[in-house]
Amino acid sequence: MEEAKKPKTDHDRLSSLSDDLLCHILTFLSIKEAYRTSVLSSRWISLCSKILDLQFELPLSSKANMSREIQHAYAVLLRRNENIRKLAFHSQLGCKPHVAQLWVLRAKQLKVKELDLDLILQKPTILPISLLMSTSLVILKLRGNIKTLFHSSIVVNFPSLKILHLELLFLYTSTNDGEYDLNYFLCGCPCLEEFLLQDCLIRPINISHHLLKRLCLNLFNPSYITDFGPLQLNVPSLEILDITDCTLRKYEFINLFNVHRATIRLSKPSDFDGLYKLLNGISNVKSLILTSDTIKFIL
Amino acid sequence: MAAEKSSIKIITLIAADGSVFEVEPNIVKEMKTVQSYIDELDQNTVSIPLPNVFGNDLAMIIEYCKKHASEEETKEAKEEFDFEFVKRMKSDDKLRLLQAASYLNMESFLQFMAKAIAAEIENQSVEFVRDYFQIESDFTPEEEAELRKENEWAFK
Repeated sequence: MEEAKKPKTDHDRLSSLSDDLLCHILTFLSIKEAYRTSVLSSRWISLCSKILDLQFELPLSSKANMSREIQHAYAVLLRRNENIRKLAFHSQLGCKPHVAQLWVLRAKQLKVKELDLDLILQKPTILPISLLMSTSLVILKLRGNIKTLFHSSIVVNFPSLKILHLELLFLYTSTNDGEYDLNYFLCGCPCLEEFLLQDCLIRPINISHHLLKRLCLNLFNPSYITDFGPLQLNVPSLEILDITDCTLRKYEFINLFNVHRATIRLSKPSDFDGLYKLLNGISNVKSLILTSDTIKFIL
Repeated sequence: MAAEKSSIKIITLIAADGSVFEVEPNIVKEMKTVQSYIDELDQNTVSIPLPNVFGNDLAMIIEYCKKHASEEETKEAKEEFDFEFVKRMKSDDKLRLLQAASYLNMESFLQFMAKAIAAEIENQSVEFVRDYFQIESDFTPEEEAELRKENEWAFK
């Protein structure tokens, strides 16, 4: 049908929209809206199960409603066995830890390429460790009250991962966390190109990676910690650097000669030496944005 | 290779109904199907038949490409254009343009059309969507009721 040589009439054209094109349209609808189309005709029943990107938005509603919504979302996932490109869960009201854990496990079973969890969790939650050994993931975005994934006894293996965003709202608890070498994690992501880290956990930060192109660090300052380790960067391929630093750190930048765009936001006055090292490290930059606070510290 | 490509001054596109369009090479950049033709042919002038796209549709696509390829236009002007572009289209136009975008292998225009169609069926009844895509239901009323029950959560 699709390959008919002569031009088709308008009517034929409409009914001959391919499954791929119809799926493409469904991708722009909410999951609920998309699944409503399964009552249109028998052809559409199978269409829903071919949607490549599944984005679950859990609504702001009562707790009872919420748990029903979660059950339905999970039921949809259980019925899927074909490849899913992207799986996203966003909840503004929060969900229980075991729900997040179930989703992560299912995402791993379904070999998704992109996983995006934006969950306000009711308790600090540990995600299944098996998540850290995913061969299929290309993009991983985690946001919320997720307990640290940084532990030297956990093996990290993301052979395909290119984009990693960690926005972990987790407060400092044990001193062990502070001594974790971030490079141990990054070594498990040999293809990583983009890394966003928003955290207050790791005290000395050492990022050394050959392929990393974009780096965004947002470092918080829990009031009860005064002694921060240095921020060490050794990223020869880096092109874009974005640092927000509310801590008072020493900067040790080497091999940042490819950075062409940098944004620096400092909210604590650093000594002259510290700022000199910071700016000197990115001396090849073509576009530099400094926030007004940062400029104040320089002048 | 680069030198050969840049020597092409004008590209002639021939639509399914025989209407002819002459455009500059930067206009067809988005059309991967056309681009692969150009890359294969080693000539100064290229004429490309597009048997699956009608003249009216091709004219609209070219208008869109011209606007978006222009470096003088601001982002806001392009967004304004997109808004008006969708507004003056009928549902049938959108569905035809979606198919044309797929045939011409135009990624961002395809997204644009799919999104515009999704916006039309969003929050509409099953009957509306059936009518929109001209779908004949092959369910008995009992089967449909059963399916609605099965997907009850989606109708809430």
